[in-house]
Amino acid sequence: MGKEGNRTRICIFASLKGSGQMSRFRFDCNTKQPEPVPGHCFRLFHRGGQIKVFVFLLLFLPLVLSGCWDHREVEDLGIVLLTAVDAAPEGRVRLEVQVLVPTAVAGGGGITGTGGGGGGGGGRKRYLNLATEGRTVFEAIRRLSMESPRELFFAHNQVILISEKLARERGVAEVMDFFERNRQFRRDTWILVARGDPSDIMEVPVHLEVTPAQNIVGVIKNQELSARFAPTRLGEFAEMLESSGEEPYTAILEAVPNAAFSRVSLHPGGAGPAPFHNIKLTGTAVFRRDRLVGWLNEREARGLLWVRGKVRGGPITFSIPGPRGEQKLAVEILRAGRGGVKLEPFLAGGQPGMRVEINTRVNLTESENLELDLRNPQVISRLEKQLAGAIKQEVMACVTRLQEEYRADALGFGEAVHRKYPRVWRQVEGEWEDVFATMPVTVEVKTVIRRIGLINKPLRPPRMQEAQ
Amino acid sequence: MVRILKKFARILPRGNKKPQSLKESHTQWEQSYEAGELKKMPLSSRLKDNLALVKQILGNSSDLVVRELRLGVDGGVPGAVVFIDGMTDKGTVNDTVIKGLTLESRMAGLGGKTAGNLFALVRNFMVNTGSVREAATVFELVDGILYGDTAVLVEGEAVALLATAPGWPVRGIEEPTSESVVRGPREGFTELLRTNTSLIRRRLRDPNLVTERITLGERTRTFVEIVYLRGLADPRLVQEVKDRLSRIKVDGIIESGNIEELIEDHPHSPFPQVFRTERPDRVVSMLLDGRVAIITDGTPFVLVVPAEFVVFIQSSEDYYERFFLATAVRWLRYIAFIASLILPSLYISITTFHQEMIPTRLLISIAASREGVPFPAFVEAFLMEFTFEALREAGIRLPRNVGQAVSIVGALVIGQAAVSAGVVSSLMVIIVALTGISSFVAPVFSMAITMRLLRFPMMVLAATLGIFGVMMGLLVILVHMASLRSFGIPYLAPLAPLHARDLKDVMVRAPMWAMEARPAELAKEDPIRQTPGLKPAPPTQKGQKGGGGGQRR
Repeated sequence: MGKEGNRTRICIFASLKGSGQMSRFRFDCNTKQPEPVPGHCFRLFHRGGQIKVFVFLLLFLPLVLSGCWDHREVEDLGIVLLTAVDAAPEGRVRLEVQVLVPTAVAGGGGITGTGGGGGGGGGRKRYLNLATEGRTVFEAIRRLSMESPRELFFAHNQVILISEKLARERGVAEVMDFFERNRQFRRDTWILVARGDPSDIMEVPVHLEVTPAQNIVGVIKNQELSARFAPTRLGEFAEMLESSGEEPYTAILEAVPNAAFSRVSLHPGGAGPAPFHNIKLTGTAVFRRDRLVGWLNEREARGLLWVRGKVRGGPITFSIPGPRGEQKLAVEILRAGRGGVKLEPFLAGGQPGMRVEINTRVNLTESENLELDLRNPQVISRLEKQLAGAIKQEVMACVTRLQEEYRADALGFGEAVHRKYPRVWRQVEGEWEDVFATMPVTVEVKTVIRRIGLINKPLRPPRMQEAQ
Repeated sequence: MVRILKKFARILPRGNKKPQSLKESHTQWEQSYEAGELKKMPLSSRLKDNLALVKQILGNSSDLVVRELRLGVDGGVPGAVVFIDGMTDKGTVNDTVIKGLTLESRMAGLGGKTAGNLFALVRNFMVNTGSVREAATVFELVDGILYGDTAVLVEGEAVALLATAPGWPVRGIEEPTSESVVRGPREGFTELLRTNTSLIRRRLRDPNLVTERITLGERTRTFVEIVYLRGLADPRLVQEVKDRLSRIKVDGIIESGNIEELIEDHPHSPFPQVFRTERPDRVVSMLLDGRVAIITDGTPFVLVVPAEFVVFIQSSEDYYERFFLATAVRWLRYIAFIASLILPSLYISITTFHQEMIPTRLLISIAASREGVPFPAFVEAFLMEFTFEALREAGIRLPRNVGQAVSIVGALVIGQAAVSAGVVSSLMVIIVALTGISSFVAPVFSMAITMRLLRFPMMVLAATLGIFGVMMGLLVILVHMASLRSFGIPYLAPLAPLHARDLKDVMVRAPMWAMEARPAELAKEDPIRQTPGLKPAPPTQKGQKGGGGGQRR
């Protein structure tokens, strides 16, 4: 404050002619600090000197202290999309992963330039499969790092495939521990049982999607439209595995011959070879404790989905007597969801039983019976009853198969009993498999046909009337 | 506890504070030593002495015009007209001052009359300008000439006459380039102080509109006027503005930015604490809030204080468009504001630390586009941001036709070539472009600059600490903003000390009929803006007009 500012002096000597008066002006450009006016600053105003220091420390200390220790660029990652676990000799596991090859994916990416053909990635494979064996899953993953030029990154892993062999012979509990424990694997990863060699499934060529992994995910998501398989996510699977009142289940994945394969496409000048194989879900695996004990066919899996409240669509075909004998009708289930099912355990002579109540709404999509007058409510209610019977059969098929053949409570009846009758549950918990196998199950289904499509009367050529 | 008490004590105004009026601190020039010397010097009664003195003081400047002439029928009385060429309106000077002295003095028939009489005649009959005043000291004379007055000196008189006929080159009123609107007045302030005050007064015919003048700058002696609405603006605020302005002792005020830096509360903060605008309508609406405007001669940028954060997000057009659109645009602005601050840093942190947060498909395309890029994301982002800022700066400075070439180079070389050369990923280009566009959305340039600056430390934080760093940076910025004040008003005003009523103009732009009160922190004396119940409605009953009701039952 006491600093003497730059002081510039300009002196003008103005001599006044005649008067002889000499005057001296000093133009004093005063740039030094003005005298502080006492209390000139509004005391209301807060001035933060400490804040500045604080901000400085906050901003710059972390930079010095931490560096970028866990910094990891996208291009240094091997993005794993698919992981398969298989049993290997001597109690080892065989692990195969599918890693994305970003350069081959790049649609308009700069560096791919050589081929220039953006569509289809210029014929390069868009994924890389790496396989190794190890005593444990983790060991195998770390072994893979010897082969992979990039750090394997599992946070975007879409699907875990467990080979049928591993699931049947060793059980999945050991490998599941790793997937649950590791923070990179997500709980929403699909976990599927692979029938056949997982390596084959992982190599089935894809056309609509970028990699087989995404193809599998697409197939899983799309199966909701048919609702004939019960794929499960990792978190859910683990919960069912841990629960004593239910057994895990999940869908089975298989590489099947491509039905649309045509030799014609192989002609010179033809469209080029179509893939020989396709990926397909072929059934639903049922586990007892952690071992695969069998599978449900499509109809039984639908029953499982009904009880689990996971039907979100899908067709039901049933038949009613018509002029040409039994004639088929098809409906499409409208999102039934969890609200559509009620599990009501009851006690019969001290032993638990189960009453399953299913409510669903459907749209009529197809009628081969050309005589039905769908404008008639009575006809509709007759159809609804028939439909309810069809659904009941689906559920009972599943229940029978599970009770009699697999003795595995994939339906979660045990959990329902546990919730409603905790004391009874404590008694039967130890022998639940036996109790489940013999428990009485009744199924009640209520259906409502909401819409019948764009036409009321069936489409019918006129001559058919005469034929009758 | 003691600290709280101390704080409290600080809040209480000090009793010993001597209120200082603007008149007292009028100009430093007048108080300075040399001015005092000049003031002490009375004018001589000899014309030649006076002229010589003026010439001497003004350094025989080439633009000083001294027209010597003779008054009276016989031309017996020597006189002189002194003015600075270019500062006066020559036509007026010729027609009214010189013509009056040379021609009309003859008709008036003054001869060897007494001196006092002569001067009165000159003053009353010969100099026909709107405003004249007398100067008795050399100081007043020189001061008047420098302002653009025309001085009339008569032999034998120790008093000079200063006729006001200013006529300096001015730019016409044009549309403000830095704040153009689609709907709204197109007039902008000019460099001329008087024009600017007239633009305000024409929109605000309130007798309570007060303008007070202060001259700042020892050498430039720039006129600065404080404009406020008496009875609306907090007198303490007005006093504070005066105090801060009269503190200024510099040799020159070239632009209002000079003043801004000298009066703001937190000189080290990157955030602007003084609002500046080129739009008279904006100033008027802010005056109606109870704010104080500071108009500086020589610049079209008018300062308005206090300026809290939200003021920089509001645009004058918000109030001219219908409120749906205004609200939507305002939200767009908020989003763009945040995006311009953190978009690059978010990109950096997510791609280098939190790859699991990206949806798989997006990650795949990011990975694909980053494939082969030789730099880490941070360096890449920094390079691109740097290039963008450089391009922007170049575009502003260059002549318009060359500026176009720059933008072509920018678009092609940076956008296209860099990506196809594989130096930069195409996603990064998108991010930088988005950031750039977002920063242009800010209605006030000074806030856009702040965001531009803060973006870089945020990027560093993102590159070192990931999202954690970004969050920390945001927190620091928030804490800093919360600690700021602009002329006594908390910077985050209606948000941080929450005034629920004022949120009508922050989160949304409420319809005009709903904005009944002025901002709570301002205009405490007259908080109500309009009568309630102005909401228009169709007529409710036959013959009864709806709309503007208030009286409706």
